[in-house]
Amino acid sequence: MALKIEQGNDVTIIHIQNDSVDAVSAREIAGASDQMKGNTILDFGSVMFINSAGISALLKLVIEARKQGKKLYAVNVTAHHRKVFEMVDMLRYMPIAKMEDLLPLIKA
Amino acid sequence: MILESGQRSYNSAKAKLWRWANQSEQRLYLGGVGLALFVMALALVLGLLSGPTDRQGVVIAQFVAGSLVFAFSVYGDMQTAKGQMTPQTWQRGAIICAGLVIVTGLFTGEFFNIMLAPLLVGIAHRRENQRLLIGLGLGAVVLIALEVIVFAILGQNSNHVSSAATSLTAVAAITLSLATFMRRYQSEVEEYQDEAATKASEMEVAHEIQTSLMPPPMFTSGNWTLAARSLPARDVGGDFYEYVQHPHLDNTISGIAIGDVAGKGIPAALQMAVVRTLFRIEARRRIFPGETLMSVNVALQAERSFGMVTMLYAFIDINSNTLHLANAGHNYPLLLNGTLLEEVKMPGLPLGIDDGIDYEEKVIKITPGTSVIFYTDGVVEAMDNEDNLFSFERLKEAVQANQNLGPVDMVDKILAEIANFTKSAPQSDDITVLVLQYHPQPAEADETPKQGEPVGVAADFGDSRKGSLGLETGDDGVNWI
Repeated sequence: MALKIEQGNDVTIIHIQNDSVDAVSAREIAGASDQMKGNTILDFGSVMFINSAGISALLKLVIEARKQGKKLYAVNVTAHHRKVFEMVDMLRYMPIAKMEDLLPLIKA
Repeated sequence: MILESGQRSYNSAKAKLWRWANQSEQRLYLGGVGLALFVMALALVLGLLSGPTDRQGVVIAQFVAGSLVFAFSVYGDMQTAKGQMTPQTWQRGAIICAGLVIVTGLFTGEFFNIMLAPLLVGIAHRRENQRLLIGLGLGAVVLIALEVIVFAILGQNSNHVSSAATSLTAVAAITLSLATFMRRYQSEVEEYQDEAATKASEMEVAHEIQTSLMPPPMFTSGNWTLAARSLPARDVGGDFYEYVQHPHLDNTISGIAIGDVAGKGIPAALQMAVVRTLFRIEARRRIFPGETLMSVNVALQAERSFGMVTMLYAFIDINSNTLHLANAGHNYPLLLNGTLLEEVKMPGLPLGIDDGIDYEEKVIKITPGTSVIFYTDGVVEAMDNEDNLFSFERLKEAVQANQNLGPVDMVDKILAEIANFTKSAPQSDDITVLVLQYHPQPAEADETPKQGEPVGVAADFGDSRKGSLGLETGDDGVNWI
């Protein structure tokens, strides 16, 4: 999976550039966890498919990050995946936001 | 070692030397052997007829050399069949040496070159060492160069007939090598096909076992009727549904559960069996679904390398006609009464993700004629050939279009709608649909809800949103969608 990572003062933006997230690609995202700052934005703009193994790995990642005091946000999530995230309670740990709402966070 | 992969196959081919897997293998191998013998005989005849008398000894020597190559090939094949040799040792050695003979034969055509083939192949046979073989080959090239120089100094030229015979000998060796290789290749294919057939047979048995472990596809319990069907993407799957028997009343269901283990195939099926067992144990111990899911989740945390499991458990209170629901990340159930369709939104962490999770409960009063549709994600994520999802919207449309049907027909119709949508696209995930309907006797029936009224009366039951982390959504000032 191609991850494009942008770093700010206290924010990391991870652009997921694959069209699908499965267990393997979710582990690659987890591999970038050491680069996650206090605020991390996961950009799902290119993602068309997320299978259950990908959801499982993502959940474990975001819960672990929140336990470490980090805040994660998801942007550019499709309506279908927004509903899936809601059902598995991922939104409690990684809310979905609009990128423009996060601009103050990025510019800080 | 030159080759280790495939050793298992060759070991299992012991005592199969003269037992042919099929006629094509037999024709391939015997044809190659026959061709090799023919070419060698041709080389002998040509050499004896064309060469001068003083060269006939050379030609005979070449024939002996070719025979040695042939003998090595057959010997190697026999040893391979007995599991005492990797065939690639022979094949590569023979091909490399034969190529070497061809090249050197073009320049010299003397004894020494002809004897290289059986010599090197024999060494390669015994040592099964590719590096050694390459080293010997390079050493032979050096020797040939020295030979050319020596013969040049002595004023001798190579004999053309001898070169032709040498090349033919090499062709014979190559032919036989290829025949051996093709035989083994064909044999490997046959073995893999046999293994695949055996696995397919085993998977078929596994499918039957898993299907037999599922509850019956239709069940009537008092005023409640339910139907379910599960279609695994492969022979076995990770989707499941379960009926919980009432602890004191015979043939009475007190609850239903539907679940989905992440992944597909055998791993998911094995994990599913574990989850179902844990659920059955916990559901017998407890009444409330939230507590039951919590206990299953705790038990799963003890399991190593266990993936995510979504599960929804609905406890049926047959006295009050209510459903007590708890959800661990499973797709929201749909409530249908007449044309009214409602989704019971109950977010929850799937099982196996984190410990110490409390699961919210909702109590829903079920009015007469109500259907409750449970399904797994394979339904809404079924894809057509253009990768379009069946989607939540199409599922709702399919449910509403078949609102007047009984549970069995409704399940069949929903599955038919999915099949009609996906057409020839392969099924990418397990698909399970379960429909529960409440049809009381006329004396018990209440009024059906009117337009605008909720289908069921839902109420929170217990702690709703806080998990072990006590985190709340939207606590950082961002406007969430």
